[in-house]
Amino acid sequence: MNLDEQLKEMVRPYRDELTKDSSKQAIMKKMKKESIRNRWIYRTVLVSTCVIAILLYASFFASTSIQQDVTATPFGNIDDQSKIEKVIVLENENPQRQLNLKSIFYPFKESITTSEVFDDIIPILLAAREQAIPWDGAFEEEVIEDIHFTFSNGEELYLKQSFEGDIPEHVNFLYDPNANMKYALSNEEWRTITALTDEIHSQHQFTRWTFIWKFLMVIIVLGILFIIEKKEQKKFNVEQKKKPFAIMNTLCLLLAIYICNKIIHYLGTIHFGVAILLLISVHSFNELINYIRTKQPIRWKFSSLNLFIILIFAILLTYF
Amino acid sequence: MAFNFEQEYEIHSDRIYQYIYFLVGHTETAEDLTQETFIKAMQYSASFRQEASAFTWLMKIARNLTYDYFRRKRLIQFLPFRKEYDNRETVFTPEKWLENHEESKQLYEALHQLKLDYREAIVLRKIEGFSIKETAEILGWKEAKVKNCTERGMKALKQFLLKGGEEHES
Repeated sequence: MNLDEQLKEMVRPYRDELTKDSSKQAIMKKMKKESIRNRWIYRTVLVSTCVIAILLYASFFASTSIQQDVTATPFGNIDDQSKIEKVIVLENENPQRQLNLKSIFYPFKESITTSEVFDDIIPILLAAREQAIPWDGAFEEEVIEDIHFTFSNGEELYLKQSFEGDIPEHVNFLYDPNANMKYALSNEEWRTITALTDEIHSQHQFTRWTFIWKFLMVIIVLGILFIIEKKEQKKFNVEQKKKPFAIMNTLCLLLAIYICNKIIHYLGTIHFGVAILLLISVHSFNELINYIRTKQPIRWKFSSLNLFIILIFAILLTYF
Repeated sequence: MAFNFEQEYEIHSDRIYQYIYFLVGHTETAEDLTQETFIKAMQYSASFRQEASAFTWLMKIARNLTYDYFRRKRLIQFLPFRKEYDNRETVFTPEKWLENHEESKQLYEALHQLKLDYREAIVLRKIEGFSIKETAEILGWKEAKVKNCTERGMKALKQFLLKGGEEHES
């Protein structure tokens, strides 16, 4: 008998009917237990995600703005000996909103800790304190610049900078939203402020290497996500998502972009925490819709892994 | 058509169990992995494409779970505090029902000395009688790899049998 025949006629292990039946019962018992467990995990995850999301949303929104302090000294509690230690600037699309520029969640804020014009700023702020006039809190412009100063004496100052009047005769102002005062800048003073903001912007310019680094990251992350998806499909022969799912995904993405746009308009700038929460919410909503449609168990591990990778990618892309 | 557990279990569970046994060489592990195969199949039944037969699909799941099992085992063996982790399956130990079948016993022993890739190819092609295409589908390989591994595996198996026979005679 050759090897092929020997292999075909190898003695095989057999299970008696009793073992087979008890195995079948065990599977059914495990399945029942598993489905109850899955249902509870699903409910718990859903409820806790909602609670965490609500709490985080609330805390993020609270951390985005700063409380108005009407008793604050207009244009800072400083004197001619004070030194500027740090300046943060951020473009604000909702001028009425006071942004907490120290928050780490604003990816587009820019800062500087040393500048030749720092010493020229102090006299402007001192002059502003002397000559500031009351301000009703209204802005003529839709997009303004928020500036946050940190001084050597530990004091902090939050100002807004914009202009009023028609273009030929417009006057540049510095606004102190905490004290409700504004100060009209002379041309010389305005040039100093502009020199400072220009210096900050020029230090944060998008270089060719930054572009190459970000482009490479996009490619790497897309590659990782593609490989993970393929591996998951291969493992259990999972059906590829068809057209309705693609439409649903696109709709979810468009909805996310729309909401994101609205939030940016409301907050005045992009808030990283809110954007990530929005991404998680849209992703969970998408998974939920898929679960309702297909009744397939939600692949929590796979889903969380994907979200984690996207999150790391978003952090790297935004902050590095 | 939905996955009918009772029906599929009656028809295929024995062969799934035997297939896993051929790979792991231990009845309890084979039984556990068979149960896990059917549980996974029920969980993912909605995604079953029905391009292949239910049996091929079940075999594929069984193979993946067995692979995961080997991977887990290899990982556990690396852990120093689990050095004495159950080593019974690293070398094939013949079970009671094999005692009176000397030829099969030698085949099992030789089969378990083969590289996993070769063992998988021989079990599916030569023992279970799957076609090259079906084997490639179950293992997720290219057909050329199936042919290659079967051929090389058979050569290695012959050598192990020859060596085993000589040792037996001496």
